[in-house]
Amino acid sequence: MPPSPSPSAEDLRVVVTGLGLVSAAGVGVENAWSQLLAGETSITPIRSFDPRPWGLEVAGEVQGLEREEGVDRAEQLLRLATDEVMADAGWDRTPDSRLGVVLGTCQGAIERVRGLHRRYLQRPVVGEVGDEGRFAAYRPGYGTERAASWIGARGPRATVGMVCVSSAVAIWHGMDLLRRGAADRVLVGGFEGFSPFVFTGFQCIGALAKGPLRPFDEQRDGTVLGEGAALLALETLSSAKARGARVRAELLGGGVSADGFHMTAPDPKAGGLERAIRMALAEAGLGPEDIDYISAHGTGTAFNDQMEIVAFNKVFADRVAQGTAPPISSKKSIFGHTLGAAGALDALLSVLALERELVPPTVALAEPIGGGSWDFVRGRARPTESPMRRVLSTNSAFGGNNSALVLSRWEAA
Amino acid sequence: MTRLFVTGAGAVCFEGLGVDTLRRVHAGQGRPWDEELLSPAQAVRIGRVGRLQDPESAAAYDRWGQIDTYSRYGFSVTRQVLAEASLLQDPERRLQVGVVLGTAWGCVEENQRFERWDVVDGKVVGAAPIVFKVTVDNAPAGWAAVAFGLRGPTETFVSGDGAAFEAVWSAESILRRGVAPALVVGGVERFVDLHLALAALDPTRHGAVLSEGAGAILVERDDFRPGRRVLSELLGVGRACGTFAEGAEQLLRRCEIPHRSVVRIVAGGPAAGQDARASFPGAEVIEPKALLGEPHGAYGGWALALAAGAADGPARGPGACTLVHGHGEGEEQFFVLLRVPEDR
Repeated sequence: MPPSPSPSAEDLRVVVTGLGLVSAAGVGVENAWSQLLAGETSITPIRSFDPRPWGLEVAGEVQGLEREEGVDRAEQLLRLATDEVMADAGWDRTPDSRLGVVLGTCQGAIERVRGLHRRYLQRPVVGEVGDEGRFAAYRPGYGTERAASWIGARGPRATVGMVCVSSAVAIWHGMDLLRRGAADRVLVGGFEGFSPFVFTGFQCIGALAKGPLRPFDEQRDGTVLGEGAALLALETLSSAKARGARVRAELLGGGVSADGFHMTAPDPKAGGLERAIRMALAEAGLGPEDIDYISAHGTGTAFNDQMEIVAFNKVFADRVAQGTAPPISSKKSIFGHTLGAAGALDALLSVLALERELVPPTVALAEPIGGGSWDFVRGRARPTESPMRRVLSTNSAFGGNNSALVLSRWEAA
Repeated sequence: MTRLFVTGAGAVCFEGLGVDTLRRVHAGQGRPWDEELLSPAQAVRIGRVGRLQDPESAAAYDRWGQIDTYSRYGFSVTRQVLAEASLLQDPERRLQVGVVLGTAWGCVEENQRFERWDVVDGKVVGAAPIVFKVTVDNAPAGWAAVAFGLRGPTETFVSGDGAAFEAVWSAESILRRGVAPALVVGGVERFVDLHLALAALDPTRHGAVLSEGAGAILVERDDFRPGRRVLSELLGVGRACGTFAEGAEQLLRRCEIPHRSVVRIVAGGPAAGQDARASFPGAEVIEPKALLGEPHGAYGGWALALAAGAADGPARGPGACTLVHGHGEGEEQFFVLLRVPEDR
C-alpha cells in the first residue's frame, strides 16, 4: 500500500508492538527482566577465548550459544532476537515493501571481518581472501540485509554506525521513516558480538574495569563489555490498530548531537548530551517535569558518568533544586556494555519498566556520585512513588555523539 | 513550508579536490585510472585518492596529521562546503551546524590496521590505542565536528551504496522540522587493497571500477542566513521500492513540480540512465559512475555535489530542476530534486 498523501494523526504516532532480546541473561526478554528484578549481574568469566593475556577476566557474554558454521556470532544473536520480536509483534514473514529495517551496530559481523583481515595480513594473495565469496558480506551494514531477508522486509533498510549511540539513533530514524510515510512498520534496534578485537581495544585505551562494573559510583574504574541484540517492532498507531496489535509503549521523540569537543573523551560541560535531551523533549512536546525515570548510559567510566550527571543537573535543575529529581539507573552492571546494541537495550528495558511500573536497578553501586542530588535506584528494581508514564533514555559515544529517546507508557484512549 | 537551500558543495576524488575535479573527470578530461597489482599476475584498476594531502585542511586544524585517511576525505569536503558557504569565518553560527554522512565500508582500513595486535608469550602486544580510537564509522563526522566546532545533530549511516542518500533523506527531515538550521550532508568511502581483492573475486559483482573519495553539500534553512549565496534549492528527497518512473513521479508530485521542469538527471547507473531517458526524453542524463567509478557510499555525495554545482551554471535558468537518483539497499531507490531558485 502506498503512503497516504494526507496522513492522519494516528499515522504520525509511533508505537512499540513487539520486543526481542538476547543478552548476557540469555535468550529472551523475560530472562533479562528476571535478572533485573533479582538485581543480579549476568557478567561472568569470559568463556569464548582465554582472557588471561589481557589480565582481565569478565564480560557480559551470552552463554550456551552453539557455534554455527559460516555464521558470525553477532548475526547469530541478531537472528535469535529477530525470532522473538517477530513472534511478540505478531508479524508474519510475508514479503512487504511497507516493512523496513533500521539497525545500529558498532562493529557488525566483526569476527567474519577480522578473520579476513588476519588472513590477509599474513598472506595478501588474491584467491585466498574471503570465505563467503561475496564482497558485500564484509560491510558493516550486512546484518541489516540479513535481518531484512529473514523477516520479508522489502521496504527501507538502513544501518547506523555511531558506536554506542548507534541503535538509539536507529530507533529515532525508524520513527522518522514511519512519520514520513516511508513505511508502516519498521524493525529497529541494534546488535553486537563480543570479540577479542573490541576487548583488546578497550583494554589498550584503559577503559575496562579491573573490578566490578559500578556505574555512577565514586570508586568506578571502567566498563565491562557485553554483547547482545535488542530489537523493537515499531509501527504507526494506525497500522497497529488495523492489525489489532497489542501496543506496548509509544515513542514520543528523540534527539542526537555532537559534542564537537574530542574524538573519545566526552565534553565535561556536557553541552552535547544536554542538547540531545532537550531536542528529544521538544520533539515529544514535554518538559523535564514530565519525566518519571532516566535510563542512563552509565558506562562506569570516570568521564562518561560524571558528564551525564552534569547534563542531568542542567536539564533537571529545577527538580534537583526541589528535591524531586527523577530516579536514575544504568543496567550495564547487569548486562555489560553492549556498544552498538546499548541504546536499543536501554529503550527495550524502558518499555518493560513502563509496562510494569518498576525502575530497573543499578547493581554494585555503593557510593553514588552527584552529591546526593540524585535518586539512584540501587540493588533491586523499585516501584515509582507515582505512576511511571514517561522515560528518558540516554546514550553517548566515541566521536562525540549523544542521543536521547523519550518513551511513554501506552494508555489506550 | 520551510525552504532549503544548498549553499556549498565539495568533493574529493582521484582527480583532486573540489567539485570542478568531478566535472573534469565527468567530461573525460581526468587522469586515467590507477592500476594496482594485487599479485604479480593480477592488476586491478581503481580511482585512487590515497593518503589525502589537503594544505587548506592542514592549515585549518593542527591535528590534521593525526587524522586517518577515511576521515580525511570527510573532513576535507566538510571544510570545502563550509568555506564555500562562508561559514568558516562564522564560528558562532557553526555551533548550530550538524554533520550527516553515509558510507558503505566505513573505517575498515583502521580496523585492519588495529588487527596487527597479537598475543606473544602470554601477553597482548602491538595494540595501538590511537588506532583503536578511530575504528569507528562516525570518525569523519567526529573529526569535522571537533575541528570546526559543529555541534548540531550528527548521524552516520553505513547503509551500502545508498548511504549518502539515506543521509540526505534524514537531513531533509531534521531541517524541515527545525531540529537544526544547517547540515553538512554527504558520503565518504575509502578502499584498501583488501577491498580490491574482494571485489575482483566476487563473481556476483557488476565489475565497475572502484573509486574512493567523498562528496558533500551544505543544506540550510531559508531563515538561517538570509541573503547568502545559493547554489540551488533542495525541493525534496524521495524513496521508493517501485520503478524509476514511479519513484521520480512520486517525488515530483509531492514537490508540485511539473515533469517538464526536470532538465537534467544524475543517474546512479546504466539501467537507471536508460530509465531516465525513457521517462524524461528531453532532459540531459548524466551517469557519473561511468568515468568517476563506483565509490559506493560516497556516490550520493558526489552526485549531490555535481548536481548542486551544475544548477549554478548560467546554462540553467531559474526554475530548472535536476533530479538526482541513486540505489538504496535491496529494491529501494532514492530521488533528490534540486532547483535553480527564481529569487536567489
